Amino acid sequence: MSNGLEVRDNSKPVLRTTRGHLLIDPSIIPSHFKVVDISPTALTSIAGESVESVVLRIPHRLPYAPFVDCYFFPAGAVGNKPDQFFQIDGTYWHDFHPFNNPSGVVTDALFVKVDDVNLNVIYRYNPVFAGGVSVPFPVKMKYSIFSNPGYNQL
Amino acid sequence: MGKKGLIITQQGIDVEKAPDFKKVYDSNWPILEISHEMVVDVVVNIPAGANDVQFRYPVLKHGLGFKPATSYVPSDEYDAFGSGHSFHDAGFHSYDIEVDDQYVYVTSLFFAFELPILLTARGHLRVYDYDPRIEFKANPDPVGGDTRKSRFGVKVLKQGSVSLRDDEFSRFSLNSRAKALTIHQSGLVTVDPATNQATINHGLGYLPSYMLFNTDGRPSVAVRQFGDLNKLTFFGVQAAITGSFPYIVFKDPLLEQAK
Repeated sequence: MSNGLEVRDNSKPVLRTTRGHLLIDPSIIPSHFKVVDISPTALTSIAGESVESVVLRIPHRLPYAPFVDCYFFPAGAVGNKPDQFFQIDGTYWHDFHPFNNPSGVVTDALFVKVDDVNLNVIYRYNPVFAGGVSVPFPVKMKYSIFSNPGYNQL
Repeated sequence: MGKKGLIITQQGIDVEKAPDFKKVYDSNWPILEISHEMVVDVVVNIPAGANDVQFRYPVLKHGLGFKPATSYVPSDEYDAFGSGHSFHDAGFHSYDIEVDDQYVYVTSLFFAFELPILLTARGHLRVYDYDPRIEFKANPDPVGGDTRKSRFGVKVLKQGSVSLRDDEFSRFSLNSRAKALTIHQSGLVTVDPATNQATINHGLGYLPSYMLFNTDGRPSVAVRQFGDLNKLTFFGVQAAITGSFPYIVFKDPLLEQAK
């Protein structure tokens, strides 16, 4: 027999506490739900080689690598960015943010990785054919850290 | 929507006056129940051959009778709900997570010239007991003020957990010290053939969290908001999109809105 609470709407269950739910702890510091500024610094690469840096580390203070949800979007006005970035102006990306070089080839990415200690925001630059220096610009990230395991853990 | 139902607010918050972001649960809103959760660990050798291979490997029978919302965290690139790109294994072989009414699959298309391939698909899969095609929209609530705390609240442990004194929320199904992710809007959004874009008018006034699925149930495409905080506009990443897409838009769980 299952114990717990069940709520039904016209006999269809809408809440069963025998089921898990995605939960956020509102009292943990640093916050588990927040909008933060991300300012990647330029990265230098030689041809075909990928380089990356950790832009931001957010300690999650959970005893496991949690499930997270992150979104990146530009922090400034459209007209303030170099032309090669115009393609993503006004874009609200879902946790993956590619930048384009002038020839239209995607060379940069912002993404997150989570370990047992931190949510890590990583900026990667990977020129496909020729080396060079990346030209990143400020973006914002909206993130949720759930009190649910998220990486090969049950 | 009537007045009947169950509302659980955060500790110390008056139920009658609580705005959205101070509620832990309100039965007027759908909530994502986790129906299945598993670690996917698929290692398959696809031998050489003269023909292309449409790979479709069932990893879970969910048996829900509809195409449910899912989330998948691959063991390499950690990207939560996904973002319109396929997942990749260590050999950079791409694969997708797809669903039908009964099963969750690992799928991919391999061309004959690529074979043989050893595909390794590892990650954390959640299946939610919610059909994103359900047309639903809640009324946005005004927000403001701080959350006070008190000794009173509701805690329901998950099966197998033993102590209500535990502070670790992953052991609870519901805990009024925590915030559950609730659904503001869901349904099918249709692409405008004139613009190759699809727009969801959510009316929240901020950039909300969302899940978007292609017709096979997996995450797809990308989002533009064009400065309008009351709508999300979707477009194809590498090609024009057509048809309809199931989606879910979530309420912000705390007073920290993206603008």
